[in-house]
Amino acid sequence: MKGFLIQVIVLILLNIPVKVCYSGNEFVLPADSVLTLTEAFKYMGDHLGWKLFYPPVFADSLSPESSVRPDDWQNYFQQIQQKYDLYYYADTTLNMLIFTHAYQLRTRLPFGFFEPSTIQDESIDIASLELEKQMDEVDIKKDDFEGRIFEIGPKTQTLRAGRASIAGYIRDKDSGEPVIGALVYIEEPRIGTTTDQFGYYSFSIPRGRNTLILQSVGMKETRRQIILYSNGQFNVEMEEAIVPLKEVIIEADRETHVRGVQMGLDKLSVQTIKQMPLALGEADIIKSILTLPGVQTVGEAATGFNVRGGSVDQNLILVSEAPLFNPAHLFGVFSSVNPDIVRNVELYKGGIPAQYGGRISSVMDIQLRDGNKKKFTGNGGIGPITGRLNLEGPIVEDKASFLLGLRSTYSDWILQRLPEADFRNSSAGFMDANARLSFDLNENNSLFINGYFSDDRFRLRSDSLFNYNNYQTSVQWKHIFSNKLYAVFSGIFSRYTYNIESDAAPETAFDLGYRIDNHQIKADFSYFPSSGHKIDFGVSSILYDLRPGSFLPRGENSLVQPRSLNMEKGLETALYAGDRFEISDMVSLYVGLRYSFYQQLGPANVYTYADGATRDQSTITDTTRYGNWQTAQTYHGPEYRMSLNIGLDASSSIKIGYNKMRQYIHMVSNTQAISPTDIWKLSDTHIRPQVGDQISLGWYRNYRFNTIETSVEAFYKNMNDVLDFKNGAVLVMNELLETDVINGRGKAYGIEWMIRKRAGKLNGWLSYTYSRSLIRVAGAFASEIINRGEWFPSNFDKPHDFTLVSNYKFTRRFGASGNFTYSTGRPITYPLAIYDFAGSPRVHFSDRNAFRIPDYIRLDLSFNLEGNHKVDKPAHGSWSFSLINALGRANVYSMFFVTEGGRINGYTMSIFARPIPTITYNFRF
Amino acid sequence: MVKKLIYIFQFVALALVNMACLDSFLPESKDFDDLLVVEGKITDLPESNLIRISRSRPLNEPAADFPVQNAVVRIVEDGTSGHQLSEVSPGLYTTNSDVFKGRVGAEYVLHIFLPEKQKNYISKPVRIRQTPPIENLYFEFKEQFVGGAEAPVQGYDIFLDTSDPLGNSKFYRWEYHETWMVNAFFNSYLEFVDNEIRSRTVDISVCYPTSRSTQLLLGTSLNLSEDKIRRQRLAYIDNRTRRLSMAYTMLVRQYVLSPESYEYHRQLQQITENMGTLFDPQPFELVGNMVCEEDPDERVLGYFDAVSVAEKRLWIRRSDVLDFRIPGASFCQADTVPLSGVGEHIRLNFSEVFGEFMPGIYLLAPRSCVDCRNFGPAIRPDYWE
Repeated sequence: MKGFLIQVIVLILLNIPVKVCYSGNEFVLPADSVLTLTEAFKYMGDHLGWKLFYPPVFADSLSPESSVRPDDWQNYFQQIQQKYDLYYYADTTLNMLIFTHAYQLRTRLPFGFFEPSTIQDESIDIASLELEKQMDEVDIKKDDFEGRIFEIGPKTQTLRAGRASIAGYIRDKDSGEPVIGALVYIEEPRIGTTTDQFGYYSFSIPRGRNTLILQSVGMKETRRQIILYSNGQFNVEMEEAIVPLKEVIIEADRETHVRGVQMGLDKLSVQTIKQMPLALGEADIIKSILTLPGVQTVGEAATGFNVRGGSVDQNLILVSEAPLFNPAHLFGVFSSVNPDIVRNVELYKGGIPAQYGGRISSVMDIQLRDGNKKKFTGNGGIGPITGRLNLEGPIVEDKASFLLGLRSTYSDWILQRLPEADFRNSSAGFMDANARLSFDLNENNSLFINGYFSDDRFRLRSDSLFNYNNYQTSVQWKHIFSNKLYAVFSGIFSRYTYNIESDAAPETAFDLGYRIDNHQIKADFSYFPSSGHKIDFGVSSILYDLRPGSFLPRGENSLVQPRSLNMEKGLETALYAGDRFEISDMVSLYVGLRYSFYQQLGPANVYTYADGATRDQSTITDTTRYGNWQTAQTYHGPEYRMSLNIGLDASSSIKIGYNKMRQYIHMVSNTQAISPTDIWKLSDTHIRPQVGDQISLGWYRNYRFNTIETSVEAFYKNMNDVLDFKNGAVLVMNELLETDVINGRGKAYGIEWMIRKRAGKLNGWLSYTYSRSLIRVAGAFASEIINRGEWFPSNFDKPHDFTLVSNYKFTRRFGASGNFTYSTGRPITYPLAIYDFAGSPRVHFSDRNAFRIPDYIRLDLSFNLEGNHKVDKPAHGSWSFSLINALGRANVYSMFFVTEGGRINGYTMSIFARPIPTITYNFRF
Repeated sequence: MVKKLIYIFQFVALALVNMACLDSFLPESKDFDDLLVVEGKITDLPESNLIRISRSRPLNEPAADFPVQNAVVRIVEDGTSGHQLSEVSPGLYTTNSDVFKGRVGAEYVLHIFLPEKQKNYISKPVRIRQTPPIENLYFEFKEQFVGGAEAPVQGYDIFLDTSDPLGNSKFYRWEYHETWMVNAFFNSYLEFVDNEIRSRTVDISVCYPTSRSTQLLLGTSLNLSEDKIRRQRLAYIDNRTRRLSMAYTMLVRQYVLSPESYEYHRQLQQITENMGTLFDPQPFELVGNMVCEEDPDERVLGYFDAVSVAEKRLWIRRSDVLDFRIPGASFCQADTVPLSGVGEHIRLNFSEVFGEFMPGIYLLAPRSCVDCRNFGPAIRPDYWE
């Protein structure tokens, strides 16, 4: 009886239309003719006295051929079961038959549903487990994984008490791609872990019968019954939640917000990024990152972003582990990473784990998808300026896959709209291409190969060409030594170059080039020694090779003196180890140490400058030459990392984080916004590494069953030896850069509030940040002092920052998004007086960054219309309409003064000065 | 090269013009910095050299600098012989060309004493370098779009070539002085004086407006294997002005600067003329080579320089160039007015008599169509060919 009730409840819950047939008219079973299923049911009801429950639509359309007549109904249904995926449950006491299609009603609750398993501490008779398994597996369908019981580890006669480790991959059933950040846990005792970037999990649980529960965003929750004999591997495929019935959507991260020890980490899924209003038709990772608290930018046409008061070069941007030196296309209007191939973006703002190093402010880890391992698919889109196409599919089914992404401008849409004919004759364009190959060599070895290339070019008045490129290649080999230990070995190459060709006059035609190469090898180990600990350790070595500038004649008539700056070489090596462990149910701790070691390598000429004088060409007293590979200067130091989570109750916690970072490569820029011609410079005898310390404190609380997350995080950051520049310095082709560089100190502090609703028709977040970012430059000489050596606001000091990101789904096919941003205007240097010189009045500037441009306010809207949701359509299309800057406010990007025609004119420049509508068509197949 | 980059960035800024916009605004004055400004140079020409001393003014102050009067200004040559300058007009001090002339190779220091403030200002020593002659001064036709105009503007680029075979010059600066001839649209032989029409005594149909360069013109051969400057653009003269309607001449002065002086002028150009790109460098306080002896931290604006001069004159005649339509010509329409109405017509319409239509009835037209002195003096300069 209990079983029946449960079945009925299940049927109601699943909302399956059920037709109940009562006894009715006399019905004679026609001999030798094919019956429809409805007729068969009717016959059984009328003649055999069953009460029948079945899905009517299904039954109407079928005429099963069976050699057996429904008189012998059990045989009849056994024959057609396989063909039509039809199941029944017979309750003989109630004379009731319930038919189901495609799934089977289970009449027993899973083992241990009401009573927690007590197998932890006693050994269990294997035979009884076996028996239970056999009993459970009666009538279980072949691909009903939830009903089956899996045996893990070599089978033993008796089951020892204690724990064993279980590890494996969680993959998407349709594409074979890893599911990252999925929560894998057992409920009794409550032990869980999350999958890493490879979809790999490993943890220790009590031996014996367990139910693994798996949850992830956008995936159906699934369970696996297992018998864990000893350490073993167990891979699970999760299904995408395409048309979920009335089920609760569970977010993978719902608990990590409060429970995880990590703080200062923001994750954006590519779905979130794509929901945001698109500027000029491109979903944009960096523009999305800017909506997070603590992340700011100088303006709408600025390359890069600023995290918690740090400069742009203090962010390590990793694309599949390879550093990306220029993340912008078209000088900051677009990001150079194609969002279609991205799986996940993580931004570490504080509490940075020990495996990351090399930049002092943040780490942005962009993980790419692996490509579909099951079938060939693709997607693409067409916007006003760009077109995209991505293809993916298996090379060997379930074993190897490829992913190709291509994006390119196809029109000079912007240039066509220019008033100046000179510019109409110019061209501007960019493209980027990604390729990724993933191989599962065997169950313990996987191999990943990545390639990336981006190209930006501008031709100006057909006499000069500006061009910049990013290149990346990386090979990663993941090897599982045992359930408790795996390693990833990576070889990474990354390059950034830019080039300017000019033919304006034959005598002065030139070719200017810059190049930075980054060669890296590293090994990262993850060790799961026993429950509650996760230890990461590894070693990394980066060889930098810079050609900081070459200036060459172009053409036979050019008089340009060929000039090349000396190459720069440096080796950055680091060792790290970190342990994430749970001290108790309520307290978890991460401690890590990274020790980094930097060598400036020859060939190098190191100049000695006279003591007591400002560095200058004229104060050089000595030159030391270092041969190839000879060490000219070394720097090294420990980098401490710590995070502590103290749970207050089930839904709130306090976290404390500290990290120290060292940075040996610096971007040299004296512009207010970062430009693509800014150069990277290695630490050397005169340019010390930047060292940053950050301490942060946060309070986290979830409401409404973890659907609403709130947090408050405060931070204080100190930055030593940040680079600033003497006034008027020319940084391109500068042989003695150290003479124009000043070491400064930076500090930043702030407090970030955030409320986020992850699920539901209306989702999004609201954040407010109050923060300051200040710099102090007080050198020994007048030219090395800025603003009298007092603290002054950095270029990106915007104290108030308010962001609202919201998405609303009207129907399954139609949704709208709105982003609203308010921030204080950035600091600028403003003139304080006018004087006449050389025939014109001119402005005189005083203190740097003493004034501000007007506040920034922008609202972006977008509407997304999906095609219909038939799963088996050959191609799916969707339309996206966006309206950038819907308020039409001409937000000031810069304010400047120009002496022209004998007068001073003041101007404000706005980038998106009025509402800009765009339409994009996206498709996938 | 830096300039090239700037072009590129301006291009990007303009590339975004469809979305982007540039609004001019009236700067408001924040905390005012009242500073001493010194501008002037010693040349090797047989003429008096000017040193202008003034104070800076607030941002919204339209007038010229506040002149600093009664200063004691001296120039010391090679640390020995001094020469006192005299104030010819408020804040403007000149050398006596009869007794003082700059000399190539000599070193000069400017001394300023302000009796009111009891302060001495002294320049860093400046040495006069030899300036090579201007090799070539020429013009080329160019059509370009300016602003958001529908039709292109037509005009002429003026270019300069120079070189120093010895390779000592490297840093160049140019200034120019231009003069052009304009004709009144109506040639006037009558004038209206004391309610009477009479023959005109002064010819007002041909005038010679002049103008000076207002932008800093700098060039360097530092990156080149030879000390050569090619196709240095000095100006663009287009058909929106009357410069090319009759005849035009430009006198170019070339100076060779010291590296320090070049650097000062380049930075000044950078922060006052080349702003407005997407990637503007951080502007900053720029001080020149004058120091206050009593207070070394006092900032003094401007620069004292000493240069030798090479001059060259360029002529562009009407026959050399396209026949430009004179701007504003359609505005020049004549009215016929009886003698009794002439006075009132002149008063109400700012017009001028230029001829007799029939006895007692006179031809009048807007003043700018009759009197070319609206544009410049009607005195033919002595260098006019």
